[in-house]
Amino acid sequence: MQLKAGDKFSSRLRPARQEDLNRFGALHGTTGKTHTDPEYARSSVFGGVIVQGALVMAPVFDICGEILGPGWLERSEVEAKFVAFTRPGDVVTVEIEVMRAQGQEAELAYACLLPDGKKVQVGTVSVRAPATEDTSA
Amino acid sequence: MSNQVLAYDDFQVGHAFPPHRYRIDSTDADAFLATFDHEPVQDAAGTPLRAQPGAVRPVHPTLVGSFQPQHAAFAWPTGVLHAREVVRLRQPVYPGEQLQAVVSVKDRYLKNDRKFVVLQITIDKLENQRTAMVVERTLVWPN
Repeated sequence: MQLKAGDKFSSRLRPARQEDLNRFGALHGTTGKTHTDPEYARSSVFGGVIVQGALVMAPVFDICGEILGPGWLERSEVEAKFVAFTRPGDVVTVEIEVMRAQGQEAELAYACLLPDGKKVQVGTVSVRAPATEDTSA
Repeated sequence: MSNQVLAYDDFQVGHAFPPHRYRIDSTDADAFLATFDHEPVQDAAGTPLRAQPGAVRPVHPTLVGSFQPQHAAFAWPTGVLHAREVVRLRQPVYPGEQLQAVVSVKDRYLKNDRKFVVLQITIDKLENQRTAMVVERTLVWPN
């Protein structure tokens, strides 16, 4: 896809269910009680279960892949900042804006937002041009 | 999995834990993908993008760069928070490929009375000796 600065994209994430947190945590290694033990989480400083930040980040990767194409797995850098937590059932929308695009290089900025506009995760994605073979004699 | 619970003061910048070898099979790769999903990506005009599936689906980068190598290196107390992640993608990983991860301590610092530990996880593909991914993970240790 030919991107240009100012292009915007969005997608809504499937709200996470407790069973998603449990399964994701088991595979990802993030089975902390604040994610997987509702009773413990209720009595914690969080007042209830919070979703793993990486579980919000993972579909952002898929969205970037759809925008950038499969080559992005070989020449990209993603920075994700987990600025607030989400809870199971929260509706999270990902908004992405192209900040710079030149040839096969691009820089995107993204934000994951709750319905009230609160940002729960922000980040950047930069893609380099593919390395070229040296064909000089 | 290590049972050695590390406190903030235990981390020494520059220290690298022993390498951890692992592989991710297609069952786990598919199960991971089933834990999240999103509606079709739309542009500003509301037009959905057409997905560009590859011939063979790689393992999701978030699973490749999971916390499992950390579990092999050390244990951490309840209350550790995940604050930031930088992921440098270099090679897709396919189910069954043998991987080696090295967890090292890139930095630790205090800020606003909070204890930050920055880990670097370098994941190499053993078959071709190329780096698949480098993860820089910032965690907040409980006081």
